[in-house]
Amino acid sequence: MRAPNLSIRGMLLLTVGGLTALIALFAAYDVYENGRRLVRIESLRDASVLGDQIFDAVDKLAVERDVALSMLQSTDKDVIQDLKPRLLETRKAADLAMAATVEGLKRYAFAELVDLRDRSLKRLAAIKALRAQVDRDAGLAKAARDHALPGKWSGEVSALIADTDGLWVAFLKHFTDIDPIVSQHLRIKHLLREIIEYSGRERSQIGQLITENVGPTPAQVAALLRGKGAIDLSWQMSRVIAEQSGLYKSIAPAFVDARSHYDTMHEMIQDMFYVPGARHGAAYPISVALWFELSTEASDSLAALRDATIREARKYTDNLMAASRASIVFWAAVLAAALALCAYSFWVIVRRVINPINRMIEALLAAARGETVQFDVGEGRDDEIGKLGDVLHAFHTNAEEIKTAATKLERSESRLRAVVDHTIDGMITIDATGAIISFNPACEGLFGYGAEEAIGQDVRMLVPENEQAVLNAYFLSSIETASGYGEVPPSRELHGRRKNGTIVPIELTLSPYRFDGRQKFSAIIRDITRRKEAEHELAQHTRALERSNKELDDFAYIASHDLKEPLRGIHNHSRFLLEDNGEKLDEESVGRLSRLVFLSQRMERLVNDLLYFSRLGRQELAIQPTDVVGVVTDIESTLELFLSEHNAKIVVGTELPKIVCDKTRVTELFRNLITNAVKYNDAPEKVVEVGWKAAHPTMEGATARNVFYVKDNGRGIDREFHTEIFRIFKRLQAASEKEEGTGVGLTFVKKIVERHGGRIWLESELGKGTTFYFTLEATRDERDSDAQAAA
Amino acid sequence: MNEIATHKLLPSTQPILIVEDSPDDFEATKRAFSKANLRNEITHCESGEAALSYLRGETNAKPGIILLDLNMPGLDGRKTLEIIKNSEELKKIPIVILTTSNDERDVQACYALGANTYIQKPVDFDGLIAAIRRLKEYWFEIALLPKEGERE
Repeated sequence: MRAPNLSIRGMLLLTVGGLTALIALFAAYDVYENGRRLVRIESLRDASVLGDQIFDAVDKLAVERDVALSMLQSTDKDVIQDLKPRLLETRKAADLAMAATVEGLKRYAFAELVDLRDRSLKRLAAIKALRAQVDRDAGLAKAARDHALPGKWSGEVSALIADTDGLWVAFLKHFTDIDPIVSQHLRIKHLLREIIEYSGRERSQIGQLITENVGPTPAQVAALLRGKGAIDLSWQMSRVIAEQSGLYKSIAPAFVDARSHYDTMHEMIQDMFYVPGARHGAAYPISVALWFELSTEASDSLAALRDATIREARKYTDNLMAASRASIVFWAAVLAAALALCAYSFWVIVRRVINPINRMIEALLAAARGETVQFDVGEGRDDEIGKLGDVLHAFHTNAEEIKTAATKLERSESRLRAVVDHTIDGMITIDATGAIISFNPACEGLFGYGAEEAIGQDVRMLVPENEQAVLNAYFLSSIETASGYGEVPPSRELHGRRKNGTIVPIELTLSPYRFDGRQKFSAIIRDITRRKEAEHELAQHTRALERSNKELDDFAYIASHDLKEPLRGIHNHSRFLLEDNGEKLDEESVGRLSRLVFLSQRMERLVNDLLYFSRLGRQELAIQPTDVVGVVTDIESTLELFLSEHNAKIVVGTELPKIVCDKTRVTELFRNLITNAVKYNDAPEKVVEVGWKAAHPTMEGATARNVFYVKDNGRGIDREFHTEIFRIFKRLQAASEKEEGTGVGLTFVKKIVERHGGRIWLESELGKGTTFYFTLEATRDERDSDAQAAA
Repeated sequence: MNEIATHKLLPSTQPILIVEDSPDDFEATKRAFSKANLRNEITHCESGEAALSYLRGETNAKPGIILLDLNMPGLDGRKTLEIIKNSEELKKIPIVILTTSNDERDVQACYALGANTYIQKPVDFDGLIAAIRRLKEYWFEIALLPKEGERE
């Protein structure tokens, strides 16, 4: 769906207008509905009033008819005289009712009501005429009784009453539409009317019987009892409905009063008919006056109940109308408020948002033309618009700096470009398919392709066919490494193929990287022709050196054999001469021969040491994990006799680590240092301390790590000899018969230390003792981890 | 003397063959034997070839033990050892390598070729005497062992 092309103003109008319209529509609908409801309730209420008036009039007509009838039938002039004022009163009331009815019908023009009114008026006029005649001429009464006039009246009034029933059904229908409670109220009113009507007819019948002073026929009694049953039902129904509609609470006193009057009156009727001794057809012992009093009270209380009911029902209808009016007022107010708010907010938006944005747009356009502008929206606003203004202002004021930065960036990039262009190494960037993306000048020189030729080509064209598989594997392994966190695969040595087909040895370093979400590679290519040559030369030198070593080895072997053989001859001959001719020789000759024997023995030791020394430098170290404590313990046990002879002891000064070294050689190293420490020691009690330190300064002042030491309490060594003592066959003292060393011990020690990649030095003080320090670097890793564990 | 008779002889009565090119060393060895109270008849061959021709000589008494130098001109000790140990006739004679070399490679090579023991010639004469005494003990011990085939 495509969004309509609207400005902010348009969108705001659309949104606010739409919302307002929605609210207004709702409010208007409610106002309309309530108005309509109000009109209907009002009209129906009016119609109801009209109806009530009509029924009232009809009822009064009925009563007047019955009274007039009984009056006409009466022969007692006094009675007639007595009833006159009452009749006049009744007629007056009926006139009033009819006048009111006329007014209501004019307004609402209910056809049926109009018709009813007309007929009511006609009948009333007839009755009026009759009464006038009765007033004028008493003789007419007789004539009326003798003629069928009362019967005719009676039938017409009954038809009128039946008409009102039909009217009633129509009313109920209308009111059910609006409010079920209102219709219930109407039904109550109808029931009450029935009661009133029946009660009136009953009274007039009884009144006639009393006036005529005759007992009722059995048929009359049965009719009365049946009617009583029907009226009781009406009482009950009206009460139930009144309770249902909530009306009963308000009319309860009137209801109870009316019911009790009615019941009293009825009891009276029953008493009259069932008095013991009374018989059918006998005259009743009751005065007309008492009967009228009773029946009038009952009639009044019924009228009061009816009035109360009408009043309360009307109150309810008034409340309904008041609610509708309130709703109309409320929603009209809402509508007005919504419209006002809409107008206000639109005004605010235009002032606070749209206008500032338009100003900013104008300022931006001016800035785009290169003018210096202000983005200040004023009023020190810190809302979104204010911030937008600040940001634009900041952008604008930074424009110069951005320009400078851009220039710098450009320069930086051209510098980088220059590096790539002028570097000796070939640099290529490659995409995931192997196609060349960039090809620097060094590559052009190396491969003979121009950059424009190479770019887009498969990078594999730059290596010979037989090495393309190696290159592919390198690509794959470099991606694997890049996808994890591993290190970049190391460089590979391959061959490059030039454009002219010649092959050149190269070193290739592939670095995968991701750019714009795509896998790419940068390759650095180095021509290693010269390195290869150098490597070749180195290999040749190595071979020469190996040959030379072999020769040296052979030389040592030959020396051991061929030098020793004549030596053995000299020794043996001297011995034999001593043995065979000892007694013939003088003392000096014996001495010289003995010296010859001694010297030949010494010479042998020298040759053996030389041979051993040569092997020490040549043989591979047999590296193994070694417990230095064990080494020192071994030496202690093998030198037990030597130590006790010299009154010496070995002390382990610190914890000794486990290391990785050539155990045999390191044992020899410690043994040499320990025996030296004992041999060149004049102290009465000779103590040799062996230990280890995490760090100790060397002779030059640097700090060495993981240092072993062997410390004695011997003579000490003068500083000037601290280097010299490690030289082969160097002894600090003149050879004596007692000390049989050849002077190679420390040379072996130094050699063993050096073979382990370590170094040895000493600290010494004359007369106090010497400490030899040494490191065994070949074992560094193991000891480092130990040192870390210790830390 | 026939072969069987030779085997039954005690070591002290069996002749010893010394293969040694150096007369000085031969003399020293001979003296050391005497010092070690070994009075056996000693035959001296100055080369490997001479030793082999002596051992193959029909009339010559077979030695109870052979002392063999390694470094000799011509057929040297290693080759001589190899030939003797490959000969059905001679391989049962114990051979002691007596040489100046104490090179690991020599020692291992000799044992591999079937030498019975290996003695490095010391320069010191007393050392040689001690070595010969140890040899004597060793030789007497192996001579008293049951011969091959008799064990079963």
